[in-house]
Amino acid sequence: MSPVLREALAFLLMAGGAFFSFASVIGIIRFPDVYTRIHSGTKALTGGATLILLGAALYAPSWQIAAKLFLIAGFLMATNPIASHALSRACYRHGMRPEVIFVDEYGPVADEEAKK
Amino acid sequence: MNIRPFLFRITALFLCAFLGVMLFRGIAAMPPKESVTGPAAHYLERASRETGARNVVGAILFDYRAFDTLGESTVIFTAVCGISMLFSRRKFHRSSSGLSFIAKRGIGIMAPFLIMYATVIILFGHISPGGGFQGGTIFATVTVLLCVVFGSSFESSYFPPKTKESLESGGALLFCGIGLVGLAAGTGFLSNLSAGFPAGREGSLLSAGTIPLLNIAVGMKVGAGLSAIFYSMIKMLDTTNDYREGGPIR
Repeated sequence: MSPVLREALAFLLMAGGAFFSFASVIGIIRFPDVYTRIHSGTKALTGGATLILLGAALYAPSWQIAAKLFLIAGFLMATNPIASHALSRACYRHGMRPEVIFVDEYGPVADEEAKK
Repeated sequence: MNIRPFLFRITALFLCAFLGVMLFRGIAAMPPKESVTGPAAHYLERASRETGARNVVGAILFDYRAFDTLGESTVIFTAVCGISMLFSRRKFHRSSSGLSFIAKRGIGIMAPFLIMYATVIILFGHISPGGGFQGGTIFATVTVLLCVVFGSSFESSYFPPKTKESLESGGALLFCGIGLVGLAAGTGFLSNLSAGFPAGREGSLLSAGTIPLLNIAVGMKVGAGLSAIFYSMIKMLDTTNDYREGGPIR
């Protein structure tokens, strides 16, 4: 791959990541309840940060730095969803309910766990 | 349109913009490396020759200003003593049974990597950014995560409070002992290369005289101290609310 094409691709990925991060901020401010905010924070942050890291890995001068950036991206993708999973579960257990519910698969399970 | 939230938002916007501008001005006002004067110029120019460490911050912390660092880590020691004294009233405690399966499995996979990362940051503190304080904090993070995700009794079975106490005191003793070696060599408390410690080749793992050893000592102290603080606090929380997961269940 020619260096110009590589740089262009890297900048494109980074711009996509910046867009995702911006969307995440707007979502955290504008969404109505805690679950949609967690959704926006996690998804857009994981996607945005991962895209920026991938772009940086393409832009990196040596493969060692690129490997480090890939590792960081992998850890972000592994840990961020776990954190928000724990957060939203704790919110549900604490008695917060979404404003509009179409399907609630966790409710019966939580009731059963509470009975134990 | 209600006027008060609007005013609030405008004020918030102005505050954010003001803060951002001030931060950028602060970055722009930082002097370039050539125009640094005073002790900073001395450190930048001679730190690697006089201490053998490539990380100038580490050289300043553990060589030129090592006595200050001893005082700083004593602050943590004092905090641990006070908190342990305040929170150790109850002897028996129940522990929460931890978070969900997903969180437990995920942290179980992550924890060894985190411990490895903490060790690397401590051991390479004289070569790359990092050092005892930072690595110790990451190690304490591992124990905090275990406390939260698996419950505090699980954590205390892996890292017993007694072990933490002896690790912390051992770190303090190691630090003072290294300082006394310099005193015995006749060059002053906590002196590094002048006391005869080998400088090694700059940039290699075994270099910079006492700096790696002091990093290890501070890492033991900070890691064990912070995790002891968190454990004694969450122990009390666990005693007062008997919760299953993340708070009382409805």
